Amino acid sequence: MNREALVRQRGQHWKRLSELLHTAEQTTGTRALGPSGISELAALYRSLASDLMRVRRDRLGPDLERHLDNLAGRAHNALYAGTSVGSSFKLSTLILDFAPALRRNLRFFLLACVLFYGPGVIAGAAAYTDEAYALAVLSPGQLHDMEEMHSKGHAEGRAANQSAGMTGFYVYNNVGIAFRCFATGILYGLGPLYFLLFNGLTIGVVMGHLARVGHGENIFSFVSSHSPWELTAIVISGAAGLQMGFALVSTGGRTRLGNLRGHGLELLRQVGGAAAFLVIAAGLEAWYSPSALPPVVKYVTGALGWVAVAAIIAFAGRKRPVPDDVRALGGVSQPSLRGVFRRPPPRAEADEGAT
Amino acid sequence: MAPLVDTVLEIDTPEHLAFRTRIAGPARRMYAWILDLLLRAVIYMVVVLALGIFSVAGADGLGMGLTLLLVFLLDWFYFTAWELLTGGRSAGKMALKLRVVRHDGLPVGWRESLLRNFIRAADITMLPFPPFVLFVGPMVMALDPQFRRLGDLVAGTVVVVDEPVTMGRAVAVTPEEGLLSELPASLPLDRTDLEALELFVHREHMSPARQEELAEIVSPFYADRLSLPRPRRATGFLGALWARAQDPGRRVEQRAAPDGEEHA
Repeated sequence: MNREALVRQRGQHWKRLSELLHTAEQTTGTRALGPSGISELAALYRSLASDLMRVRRDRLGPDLERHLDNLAGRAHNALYAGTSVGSSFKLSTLILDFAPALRRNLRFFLLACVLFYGPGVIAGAAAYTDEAYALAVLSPGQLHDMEEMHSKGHAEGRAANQSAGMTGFYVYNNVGIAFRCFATGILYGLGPLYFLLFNGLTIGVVMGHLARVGHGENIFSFVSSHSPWELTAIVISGAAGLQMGFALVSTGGRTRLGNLRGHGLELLRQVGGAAAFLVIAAGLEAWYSPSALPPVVKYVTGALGWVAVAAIIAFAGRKRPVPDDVRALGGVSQPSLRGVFRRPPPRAEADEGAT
Repeated sequence: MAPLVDTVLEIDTPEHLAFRTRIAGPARRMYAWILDLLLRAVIYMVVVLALGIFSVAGADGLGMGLTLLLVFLLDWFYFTAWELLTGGRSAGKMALKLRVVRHDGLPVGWRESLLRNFIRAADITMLPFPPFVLFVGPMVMALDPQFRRLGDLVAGTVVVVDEPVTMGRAVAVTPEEGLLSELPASLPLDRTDLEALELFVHREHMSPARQEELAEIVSPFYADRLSLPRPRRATGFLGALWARAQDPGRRVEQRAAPDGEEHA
């Protein structure tokens, strides 16, 4: 069949397909077409497939081929848009799957803990005993600012207006740090390595120094109630970042990119949980931590916060089934503390071999 | 067939139909990104001006809080919001006719969109190489055959050109009419020859002298293949070849295909 005959015979169908697609694209997708419209679209798409094959085989012209390619692409997108596997967003899914995802990848969480709390504790102890150490890490000006900021207790509380402002700041600043800590994990984990060590060190020095100069109660009573949520969230996003970097190195027999893509959703679950923690932390830090409540109450809140965080990480979502994407990665057994340091079992062969 | 060395994304569908889309290049994506940056700046300024009302009312803390919240949302969720609402097109991408798709050609979902836009923070990381500053994302794009930045690599997405394709654009080459009658009905041209001719005759913004210069490089080969004398005007000769290949009325099947194959 020559080109003219094909265009004469099929041109009307292509035009009709283009019209249907235009309607679908300008409105709510294929739903706007109604049942008859959708089946018409599907039929036109299938017949277009054979037209395109014919144009390619008989070399009826690159411009015609491009035109039909474009139509096919648009039709494909319109028809399959609704079915892209489970693409509807469920916040509950993300929240409930967060803790199990964290438990499945506990070794990264523990590594991030060591990287964050390790320097924190050491630097805190060092700065508490020796001012020279604090000065080696932070400038005198920074230390002075910190002393100024926490020289007074919280007996007066904080005005609601100011708290509202600080909520925005804490969300912007802290969630931003956590997201950046995760995102830069793509650089072979170097980003989270830096952010975890740096933040751990700085926080440790500030705490130790303030305790040494006698503002201990001011600072500890301030940070105690929100710190369980905030610190854990930073560690979790760091852990997700480290895992992303590690996915590039240890690929489990897949290509680097394939392995990275395979881990994407699992990482997103952890970051989603961290973000939720940080929103809780921002609320507490702005409204509760600077309030005029006696320090003891805040310490108790802090202790309860740690219990809550530990309980969420240990128990939340225990009944959730292992998600399909994790199953597809293989090698991830049921979460257990014993499994953390064990090598994952060897993967079954020929998962994605000669297909 | 060997994979095409081209910026083309070939997508296999369940119907065993492989269709092709053009992958967007770094320059075009950069323009789109700059447009989005400007739009974000405008949104920011408008909202900050509007929130000035809180300062007037004496609640400047609330105003500041909302402003920072807005900056946070613009930083991390601006692109995701656009991509989910429009099927993969931010304002800048719309203006430059680009679209984010999954590597299987389907529209992006919330997972891909969130991931690719979180990792944006790594893509805009700057590496200092005095006196230059290099952004990570564009460097990665330069190394990737599909121009993907880090976020695209993790999320499994590609940015493609989403332009309507029209048939029969203006032809910038006039075929030499006298030659047309000398050409045989069936031209010994394969698909790549046709593609090259097609590109040549549609190429605009080229001076006639340069056109002729380019045409002179290839026209002797075609003339020899057709056992014709070397053409006097190479451009006109190529134009005539193309016109003949396009001319459906006098076109004869290149391969004497048996009738049965028509139904295959």
